[in-house]
Amino acid sequence: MSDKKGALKKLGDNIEKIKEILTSPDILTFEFCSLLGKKFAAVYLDGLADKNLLGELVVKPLNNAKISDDGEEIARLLALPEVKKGKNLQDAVSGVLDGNAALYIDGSEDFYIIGLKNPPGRAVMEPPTQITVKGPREGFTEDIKTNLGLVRKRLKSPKLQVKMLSSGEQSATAVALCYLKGICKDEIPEQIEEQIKANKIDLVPDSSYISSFIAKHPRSLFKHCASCEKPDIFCAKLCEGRAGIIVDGSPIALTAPYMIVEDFQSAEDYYITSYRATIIRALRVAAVLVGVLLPALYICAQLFKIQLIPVKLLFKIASSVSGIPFSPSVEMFLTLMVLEVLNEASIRMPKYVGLALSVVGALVLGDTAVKAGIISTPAIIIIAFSAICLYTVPDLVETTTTLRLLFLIVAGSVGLYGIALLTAFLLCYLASEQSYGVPLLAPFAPLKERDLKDAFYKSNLYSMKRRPRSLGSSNKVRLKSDKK
Amino acid sequence: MIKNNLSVRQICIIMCVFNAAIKLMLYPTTMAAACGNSLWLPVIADTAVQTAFVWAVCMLCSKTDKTFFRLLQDAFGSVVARIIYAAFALYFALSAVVPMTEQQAMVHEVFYDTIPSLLVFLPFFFFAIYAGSKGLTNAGRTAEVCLPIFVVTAATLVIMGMLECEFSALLPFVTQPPAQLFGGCARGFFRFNEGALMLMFMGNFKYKRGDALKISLSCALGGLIVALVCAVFYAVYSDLAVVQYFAITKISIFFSAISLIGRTDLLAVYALDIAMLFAIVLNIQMAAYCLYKATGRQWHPAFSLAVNAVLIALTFIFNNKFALVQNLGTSVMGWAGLVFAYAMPALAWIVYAAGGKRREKN
Repeated sequence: MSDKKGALKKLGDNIEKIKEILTSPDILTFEFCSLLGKKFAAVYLDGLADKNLLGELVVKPLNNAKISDDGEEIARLLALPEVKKGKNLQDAVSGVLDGNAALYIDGSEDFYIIGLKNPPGRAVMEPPTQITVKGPREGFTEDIKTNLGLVRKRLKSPKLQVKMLSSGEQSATAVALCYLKGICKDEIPEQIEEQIKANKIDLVPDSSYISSFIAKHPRSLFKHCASCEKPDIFCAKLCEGRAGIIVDGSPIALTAPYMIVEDFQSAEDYYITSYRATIIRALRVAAVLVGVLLPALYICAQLFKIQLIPVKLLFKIASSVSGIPFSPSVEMFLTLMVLEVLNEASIRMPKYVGLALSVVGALVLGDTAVKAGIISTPAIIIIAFSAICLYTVPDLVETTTTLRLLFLIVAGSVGLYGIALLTAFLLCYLASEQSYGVPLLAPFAPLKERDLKDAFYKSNLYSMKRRPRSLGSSNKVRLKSDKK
Repeated sequence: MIKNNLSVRQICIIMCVFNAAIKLMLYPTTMAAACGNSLWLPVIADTAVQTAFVWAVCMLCSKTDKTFFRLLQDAFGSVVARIIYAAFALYFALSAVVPMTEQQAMVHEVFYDTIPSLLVFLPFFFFAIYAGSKGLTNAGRTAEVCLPIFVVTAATLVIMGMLECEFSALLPFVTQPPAQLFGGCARGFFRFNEGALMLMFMGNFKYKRGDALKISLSCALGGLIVALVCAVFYAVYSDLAVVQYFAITKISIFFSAISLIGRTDLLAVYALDIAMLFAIVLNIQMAAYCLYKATGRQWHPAFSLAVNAVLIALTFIFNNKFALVQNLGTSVMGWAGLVFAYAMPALAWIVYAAGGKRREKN
């Protein structure tokens, strides 16, 4: 592709040149002329560009105009806010592929990229994974411009910087790197930009790809950037001193640096009383611990240390497990596998089969297996309770379900000491992991007392006048008030 | 890139939590055997001595920001400094043997109904190799993580014990002959190495005014916690305390809410064991750090691997020889402790003072 003199004077040559590169049949050319016979051609991508706008705001004014050869006059006639002069053929190609139209004028070297992009998309709605009873319900969509609009709507600050990047050799996916200048440490957006640019891949269909790009250890079991579907959470994180990433085509925005404690915070915690929020947070921590450890502890109690189980409960369990043909660890493992299969199937299956699946899963598999003496009732109760517990912190589910399996394997083989060792190992690992210079276990290790106010307990708004120290923002104060 | 810098808070937690955690395994029973109902007295005496040495090293830290290695290097040259650090590496590695065997015995008794094979204990070394390769900064951070675990679990167990104990068993105070009390003191004095730990932390943190007091008080607090556990332990078991191994796992046994079958209090013991694991591994981390200093090479996981290789070999050699390890721990390792935990801090001061005179002459 010649860059220096991509656009030719003759209309036909121009179209031929662009068609040589964009050979796909859905690249359409619409030729028309003005009252004085001046010829124009609009090249656009069918399905992405808005044809109505093209007709109403580009073709109609030019058709009815008496225009000479002056390109500037043509630009003035177009009643669109997004009109820019193209420099070379590369501009035209990327503009058309982006969903805009390239307007060529016969006899002129100039051409215009007209912003007609209107990709199919859904409306702004409440995200399914971060539902709140109180608080805003808007969620991100797949359209980057809508998402940036939702952010701008909440942060009307000149400090908000949006750096547009592109990722994916073939997809050229737009990536918006957002941060608040003076609040976010300068190195963070710089490092993120470097990481995104350093990765050359064909296609970036979702923000999860970018999440892998910007993670220091992409193979880690623990993520290195947080994700959110709600603009209010996104903006709050930017205000704390984080950088945010919005990827075109993905309703999930990313924020970094990441601390594990973030996943235990929910949007609603900030819209309800701090007492209630603290109780709920404590409950979430307990639920995750129970969800990960309960199946493993149950196996250990049965296999290695029966003393752990209170005597009356022990009799109940003994009567339930008598006659079960599997060892406790195999039984638990099988039950867990059934749960995972049901979970996987219920996500992938069409909705109308869902009800049948629930009936088959709960009644046929669960009830019949217990009645047939294949699986014991405690095993089903424990696995079901564990699954429910883990979903109290949905952002950590990928990690916690894997950990549950790991603990289960260790419990069945090494026993209680294995659980203690694995826990110690995980703590040691987490203590050494960092996300953009911020330890994953912050504010607990290294301990930042002030940041604890919004960690496993939630203080009231007036107690959190400063931004989290762990994020190292130079602008420390976020609330100025005499109230205490 | 592995870092070895620590914050004063982390050192305080290490001094308090890790030192207390490592002493809670067999030490109370040993003290009960040595001193009867006065078991808490030698614990306090030992703590006072160890705190004094920690304070002495802290005061040295207030005078210079050099590491002990650098002090030795400036005074005697690089070769001597490396030899001393290699000896420290060996000392710390061997210091891990006694608590490791105690942990092994505790695991056998508390974690399993039937005695498992040695293989069950071996995964400890996967953890030890990994943690040992992470440097002192990681040790400091894990200490911070262990703080709430230790506080919650130890407090739960002690409170459960306190509600069912008879403190009159501790009366009358000090009935034992002085020789017996000194014997008890000697067991702790020779075995624990707070002074040596502090010497290794020297130069790896930024000293500020008042830090010596904070660190020393933390060390003293750790000792007081152990003394409290010892007192509660004796108040629960009285004369039977000498045959109750692993005190912390047994002081809550008579709590009315739990019966003999259904010891849910053991969950707190298992959680406390995590802090104990980190406390044991601290010796391995220190050994790897000393090895790194002694070799003068870049930090590498091989240092941790080497230390753990020695410990794995010793674990096989000393398997089922618990009494022998305990004897060696108090005899041979006791003298080593005297050199490394008490003589070396004194040497550090001498070296610093001599350096000061040299500086004045220059």
